[in-house]
Amino acid sequence: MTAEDFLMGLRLNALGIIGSVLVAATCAFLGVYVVLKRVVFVGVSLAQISSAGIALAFLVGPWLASVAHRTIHGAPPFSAIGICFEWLAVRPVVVSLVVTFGAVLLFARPPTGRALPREASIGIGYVLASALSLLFILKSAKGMEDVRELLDGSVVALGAADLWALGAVFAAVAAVHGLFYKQFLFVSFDAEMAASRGYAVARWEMLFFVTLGATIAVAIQKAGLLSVFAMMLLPAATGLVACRRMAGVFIVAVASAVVSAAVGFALALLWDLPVSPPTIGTSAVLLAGAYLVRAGR
Amino acid sequence: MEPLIRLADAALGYGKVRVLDGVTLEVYAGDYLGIVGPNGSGKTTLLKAILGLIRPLAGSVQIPSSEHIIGYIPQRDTLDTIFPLTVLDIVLMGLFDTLSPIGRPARRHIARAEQALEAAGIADLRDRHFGSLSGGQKQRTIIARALVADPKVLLLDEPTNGMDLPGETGILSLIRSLHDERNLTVLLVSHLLNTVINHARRIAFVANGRVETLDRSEVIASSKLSDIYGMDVEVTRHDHRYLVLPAANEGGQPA
Repeated sequence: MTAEDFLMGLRLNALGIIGSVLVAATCAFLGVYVVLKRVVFVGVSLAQISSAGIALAFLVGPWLASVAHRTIHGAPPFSAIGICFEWLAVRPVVVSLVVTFGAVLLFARPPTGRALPREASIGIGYVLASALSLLFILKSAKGMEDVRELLDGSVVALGAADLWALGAVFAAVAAVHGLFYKQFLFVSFDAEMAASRGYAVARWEMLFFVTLGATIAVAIQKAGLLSVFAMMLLPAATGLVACRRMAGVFIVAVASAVVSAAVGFALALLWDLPVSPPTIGTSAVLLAGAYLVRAGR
Repeated sequence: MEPLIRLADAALGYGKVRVLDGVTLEVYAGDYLGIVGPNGSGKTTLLKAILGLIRPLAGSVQIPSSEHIIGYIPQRDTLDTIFPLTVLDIVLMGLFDTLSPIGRPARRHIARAEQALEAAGIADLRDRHFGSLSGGQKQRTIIARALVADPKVLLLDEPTNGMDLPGETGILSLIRSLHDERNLTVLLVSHLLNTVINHARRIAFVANGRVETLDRSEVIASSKLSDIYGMDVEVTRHDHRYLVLPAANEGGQPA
């Protein structure tokens, strides 16, 4: 590939690059809490469950479209059902959001009165979601093409409307976390003390997991399972290894995610690769660099 | 005088499970109450009821209406040192509920936090990472976090657990001086009677689902301790300090 071709590729994929960077930055920000709260497995499980939602949408999409095609021009209420199905058929993220929020409600339940530890419920959710994803994809019309889309996303095909939708969800998540930073920090660091000072710990935990679930569900369709999970883990780890203050950790985590996403996308274009592997590779190199910085102190 | 905290014939527990029954306890301003009992006896349940984190299953629990009156000091080991927080960051958390929901600590809040650090004897550790501190320094940090809100009552959960002798002595002396100089009411939870017997005026024993409160003089003089612990126990005095030991037989071994 010539330099001119490469630059042309970057220009043509500008929306995809911006989308990748947005996904990476938001996942990295929330990933700091995911790592600090020691709920990495929740992140993995939610990502897998969200993927199962996408896979379910791939499976039922053609059926929804076919029902919509037959009913949309009929009499009410069938026409309304047709419009609704037509809308859903091309928006797998809606199915993913519903499935992910269902999992969030289950995972965020307070631990008292549970027959099983939370880790067991999360593990069961992960295993079931993995099995269902496989089943849905095998039975879906496109098969292996869907597997690749599920793992690596479709960020290359991101349109302006998709980008605005991503941006709106991520801006809402950023606003919630920006406004209520001290509540999320206090409840994450010392839930018992926070409760003794009148904080509704269960509600703040639920709000955190709702923002996490929304981010994962929206991000996974575009960036894929691998990138989303990697961006929740590697940049946060980089921030925590490199910095000793919360502000620094957030800044380094988000910055390293942005660099990883941009460089990863460029390398994918250059070497004609899926976007996830070079993104994850770049992030891993930055994490190694953070360890070197720490060792050199 | 009205008690600050009053539990009247309270049953405490979770769901339908009663951990403690018939709990009657009054805490007055200026009290120094030790809450002692073996692990799993229900001390934490009693503590949660006093903090208002659980409601009584029966009877009543009256606690101060203002959230700022009780300064809760949890066990330091429950705090995760992976968080990149300095001592000042943690002390400022004690003021979070006095800020507006989206407010941030201002210069005056930092000044208050510095005063609390001074009172806890760790002003020089202000910018140190919490994870790099010794057990005693961590305990002083969370005491400072409680002090910053200017509480009337300090409720400490096993503050010297797992500490070496200098650390334990330092923390108990700090609590004593806060009690004496600021007239703070102190509720000190411990599974070791020796930790509290030389400091607390009264001791609430938590065992077998019940809570029994005795004045220190009663603890020292009576045979109640043997009944509570289900073994022969003696209290000896050495250099103006009391020590609780299992009663020894003629060979000097525990009876």
